[in-house]
Amino acid sequence: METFPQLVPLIVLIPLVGMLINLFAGPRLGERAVGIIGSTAAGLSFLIAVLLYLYLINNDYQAVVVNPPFLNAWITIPSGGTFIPWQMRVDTLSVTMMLVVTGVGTLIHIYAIGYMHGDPRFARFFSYLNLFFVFMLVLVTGNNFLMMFVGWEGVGLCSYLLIGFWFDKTRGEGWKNSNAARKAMIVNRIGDFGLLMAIFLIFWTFGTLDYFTPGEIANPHLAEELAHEAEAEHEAEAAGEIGAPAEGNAAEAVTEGEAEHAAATVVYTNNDHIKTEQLGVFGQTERFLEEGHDVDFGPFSLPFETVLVLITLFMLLGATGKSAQIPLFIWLPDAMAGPTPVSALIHAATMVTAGVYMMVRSNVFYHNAELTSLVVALIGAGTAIVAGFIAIGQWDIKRVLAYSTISQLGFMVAAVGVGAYSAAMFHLVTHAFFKALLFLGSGSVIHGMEHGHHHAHDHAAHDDHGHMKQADHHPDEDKPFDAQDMRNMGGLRHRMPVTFWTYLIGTLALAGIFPFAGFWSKDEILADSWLAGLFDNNVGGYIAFALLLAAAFFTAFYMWRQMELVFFGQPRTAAAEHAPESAPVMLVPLIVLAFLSLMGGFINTPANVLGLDTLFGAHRLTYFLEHSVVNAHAAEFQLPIALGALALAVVAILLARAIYGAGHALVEGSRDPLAVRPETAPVWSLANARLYWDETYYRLFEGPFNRLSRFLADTLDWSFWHDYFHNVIIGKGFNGIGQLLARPVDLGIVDGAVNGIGRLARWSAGRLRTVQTGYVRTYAVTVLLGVVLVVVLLLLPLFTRAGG
Amino acid sequence: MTMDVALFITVGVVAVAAAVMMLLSENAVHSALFLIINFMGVAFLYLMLDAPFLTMIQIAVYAGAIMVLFLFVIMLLGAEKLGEPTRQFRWLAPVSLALALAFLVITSIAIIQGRIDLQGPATQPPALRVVNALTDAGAVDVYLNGERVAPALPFGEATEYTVLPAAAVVAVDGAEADTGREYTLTINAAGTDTALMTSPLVLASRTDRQINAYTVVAHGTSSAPQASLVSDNLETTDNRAGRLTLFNAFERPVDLWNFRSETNPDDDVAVTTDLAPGSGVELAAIPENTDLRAWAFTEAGNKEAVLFRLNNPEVYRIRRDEAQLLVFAGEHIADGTEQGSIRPVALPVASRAAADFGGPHGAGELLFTRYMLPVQLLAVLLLVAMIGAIVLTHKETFQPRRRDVRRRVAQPLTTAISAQVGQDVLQPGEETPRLPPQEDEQPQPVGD
Amino acid sequence: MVQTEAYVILSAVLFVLGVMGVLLKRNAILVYMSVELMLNAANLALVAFARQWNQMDGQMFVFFVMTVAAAEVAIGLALIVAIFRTKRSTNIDQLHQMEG
Repeated sequence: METFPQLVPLIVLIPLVGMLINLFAGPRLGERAVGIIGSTAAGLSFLIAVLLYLYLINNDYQAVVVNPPFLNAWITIPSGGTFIPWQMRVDTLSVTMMLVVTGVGTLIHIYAIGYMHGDPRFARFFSYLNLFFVFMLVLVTGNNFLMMFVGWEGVGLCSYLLIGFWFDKTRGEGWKNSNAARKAMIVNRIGDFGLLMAIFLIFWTFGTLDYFTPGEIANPHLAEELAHEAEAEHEAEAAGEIGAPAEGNAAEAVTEGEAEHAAATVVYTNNDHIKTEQLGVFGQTERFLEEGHDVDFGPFSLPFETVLVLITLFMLLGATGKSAQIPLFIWLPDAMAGPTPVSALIHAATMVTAGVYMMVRSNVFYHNAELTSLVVALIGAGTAIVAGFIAIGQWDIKRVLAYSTISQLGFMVAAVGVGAYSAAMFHLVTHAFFKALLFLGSGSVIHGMEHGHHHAHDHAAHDDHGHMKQADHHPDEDKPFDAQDMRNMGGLRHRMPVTFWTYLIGTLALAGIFPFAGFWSKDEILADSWLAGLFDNNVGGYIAFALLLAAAFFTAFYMWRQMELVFFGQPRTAAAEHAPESAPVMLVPLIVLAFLSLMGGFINTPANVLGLDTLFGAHRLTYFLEHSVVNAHAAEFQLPIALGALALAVVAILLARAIYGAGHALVEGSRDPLAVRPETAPVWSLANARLYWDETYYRLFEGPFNRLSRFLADTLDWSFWHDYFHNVIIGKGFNGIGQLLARPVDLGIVDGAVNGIGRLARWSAGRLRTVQTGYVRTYAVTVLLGVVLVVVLLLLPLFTRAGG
Repeated sequence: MTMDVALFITVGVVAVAAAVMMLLSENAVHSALFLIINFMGVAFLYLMLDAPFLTMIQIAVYAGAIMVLFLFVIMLLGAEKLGEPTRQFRWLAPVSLALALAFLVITSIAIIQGRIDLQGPATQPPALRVVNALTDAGAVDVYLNGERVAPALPFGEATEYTVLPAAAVVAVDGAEADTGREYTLTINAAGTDTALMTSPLVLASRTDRQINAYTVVAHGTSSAPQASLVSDNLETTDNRAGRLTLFNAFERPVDLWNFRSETNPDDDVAVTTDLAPGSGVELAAIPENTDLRAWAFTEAGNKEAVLFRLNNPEVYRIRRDEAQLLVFAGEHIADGTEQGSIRPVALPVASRAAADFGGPHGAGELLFTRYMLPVQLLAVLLLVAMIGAIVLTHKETFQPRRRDVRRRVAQPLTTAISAQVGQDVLQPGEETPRLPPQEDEQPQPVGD
Repeated sequence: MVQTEAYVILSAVLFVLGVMGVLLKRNAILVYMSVELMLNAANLALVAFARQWNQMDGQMFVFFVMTVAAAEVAIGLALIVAIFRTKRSTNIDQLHQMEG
């Protein structure tokens, strides 16, 4: 078991191997083999994550830093003293992320075998998914910000590839998909700029990028506390032993044994023995804050606290990009253009939580940067309510879920803002379960709708060879059928019972109904916000509390609206009437995730609630995370808040049922009941138009940018640079010089010389050719003449000697 | 006028006359016959110049084979007579004559001015080798003129021949004079600087064609060493024989007997008798593979006292064209007594006989040693010439070949391209080929 | 003993005679024979010098010259035969295709 952490490179390598196999051999292997390889690679990663978890709980949650045998010195600049190793960190936080990523990811891999069946690029899809695993696991296992950045960019790449996976759809769908991919890429670049700036600042400030150096204790407070407890226990035991009739040498033996133990392994409970510059960034932060520190920027220097605020703000910018917060959340709804398993895995469960993970990982920074914390809380809460509001007005089943995801990510970010890091992680875990469930459920619905559509329109010749996701089976059809539009659904409860029940569980979990997972995690965030306001005089806490409460109301409302539109009522189209239940390979992951959504909340049940803590333990996730998250703390259960939030959710559900239920899901053809009521119509259309957010961006940034680009391209580059500069100055100058060189120089001197030589050769050849008579005897005479001359020359010394 | 000068003049006049007649003769067959006479004269001159081998080749190959070939071709082609001389190059004959005469005059002057015969004949510096027959000295170092020629030469062994620096030859008007030159031979015990013996030698270079080789036999004891000079006769003998020279390096005079019959003592032949210490004798040429097992060295005058029998046919053997020096010496054997004992032993020192000058033997030896590679190349050349002659005289070699009249006419490039793509690339009136227009898909805005 | 000079002068005379033959004869076969005469003259000089310097190498060169001459005669006569086939003549004045 001690060797388990050495397996951590494999968690990255196995999906990499799976990716390579599927990429190069996939098209020849066939769907079945590709699916098995991809899922097995994911499953093996999950197995390793479980092994690492087992290691941690059996070794006092001690973090382990692993240097893979290769890539040991990743980036080394000896002159600059820079040494960034490729180190992988196994601690409670990273293992939590690994478990979520690989666990949910494995289920989604299995689901995708069924969902992507028949796709011409099946193997490529699975190799992308495995590649995503590689980068996501690099992101969470890295021990420094640079590895995090590598993973961060890698998952961004995979996200781009998978959003635009169906780039070749017809009827403009392909354009939409690829534009969505580009949008995600570009918007994320803005966030990546922030992250890069933060990394540069960190490196400048601390001289390292490591979270914690090997051997450093991540949470010295906790370690000392535990040491004290152990000591107290020991003393208590010793006190008990004094009363007992103990023999003298027995006590001696104990002390001797202790002394030996102490001599053998010096157990540190803090990092005081490590020099400041050899600590990781977080350890250094605490030292700097204790001792006071100015960061030298050359011409000027800033107090360390200010630098910390800058770092955290830049990081926040990165997080708003990756985790889809205001102002950069606009890419995530469009990202639903990708296949549904991708939406579930990347754009709901794992990748978008990378920003939250980063902020939780950097909790030491955020905890000590109050200004940033306030901003974070406001952004998170604002995102939660804005996205929740927009979700009310959407028709696309996946788009609703996308805004829901943004909203829930807002909850997590707000939790970070109010200092509830463990609550953020808790919500991250539970949200991964039920949002993956909801997405996969919606995928199942879409799948069923497409089947139903084919079935309804292919009475005569049912084409069974495969079900293309593209609706281009009927090119003569005027209006493409949208399998994702909830207006086309309804009454699917009876057609797809398993999907319905699992979806219901997911909805209730998301809405925060007791005892589903969402109830516990959302309640913890609300309670933490309230407590932060109450005890820390944190204004942001109050604001966040209020906004999140409202967002929770919206959540329950739009989710139940969706339930009514999709599953209840009567089928509104032939496709909905004929939609079949999905294959077992898709339903099994749904059932597993439904179970997790039901029970996931009990991993962190608060103390003293209905005796649940005796059954599941109290604050287990918090205590688990405490070993790597310094500022994690367990919040007390706030019964009024919990009851209030629960009541609010129930009211929202009842309200939605009243509005959309009983066959009133759509009125006046296909309009929302809220849209027809004059008092709610403007609000609803605002939500339907997504608050004109994209349009505002277009006005503010894209339009001016396009005009500037056009000016630069047309006027500056083309008119001035090409037409004027190139033509007038370069072109004419060149022509002038060319003319000069051509006429007098080339024709006169160069050609004249060459032609002159030619004429000379011609003339002399004409004279010389008469020598070539062709008669051998004349040649022989010439040779003899030469021989005589040579002999004379050779024998000249003899003659001169004779003469002299 | 001596005989050979008379012969030279006669033969020379015949050769030149034959050459002139060859030139003047109108009939090609006559010319060829005159040329044969000329070649015969030259062959005779070769003989006078000590080149009998070349004489035979000249007659057999040149005057024989090659001229037969000429005659054959002349007769074959019927080209013995030429038609009317062309009137084209009247200036050629006088110019040629003038140039040829100029050439002759120049070379003659050069030859006379060069005084070839007064350049001095070739001299042969003496070559020397040393045999270690010192009774009790063991291995020795041999120095010649202070230069070590043999390190640690063991008893009974001889050094290679060392060509000594030539002695100066003063030649005045054909008179050959050689004053000789003094060389110093020094023999040290092996690895030491103490000279056992230093002996001056006076040797001369030779101007005749005789081999100028000597052997120094170092004999005696290390306390009283002696060096005896033996002149080596390395001339080849008559057919299938070898030379044998005896040298007595023993302390007492010896006889060499040939005990031809084991039974009858009267048949025994004394090869040499009473060979004094430090003296040698050259025997008459002995046929090769003569059985020397019956030969034995005896005390002088007492043929019963056999000192050493030459009964090892592997060692004591007469080989063809070999000049062997047999040194009879005493070897000191440490037998436990204070003085030790002296064991008589015959030491054979062989050397190859030199080849004769100008004969087939010498020519063959040179051709198969020094000129091996040129001979090979000549063989290849002859082979090529053979093939070339066959090819050249082959009837069809110079027949005009049938030409493929229908040359391929270059196609226009567009025709070639359209043949590749299967459709017309160029539409009439169109200047450049274009791809078919694509369906333009305009980007659609994202969203509902 | 005849001096070497005498042989060399004889050799030069024969050589010049050969040269004259090459230049003045129009029959290709006779030209070849004159070339052979020149070669013989050279051979004579070589043998004479071999005796003069007491080295057999000169005689070996003569041997090689003879061999090369044999090859040359074979090729040359083959050429003459080939030319005779087309031109019906061995007159070298009728061969001037190489005229410039």
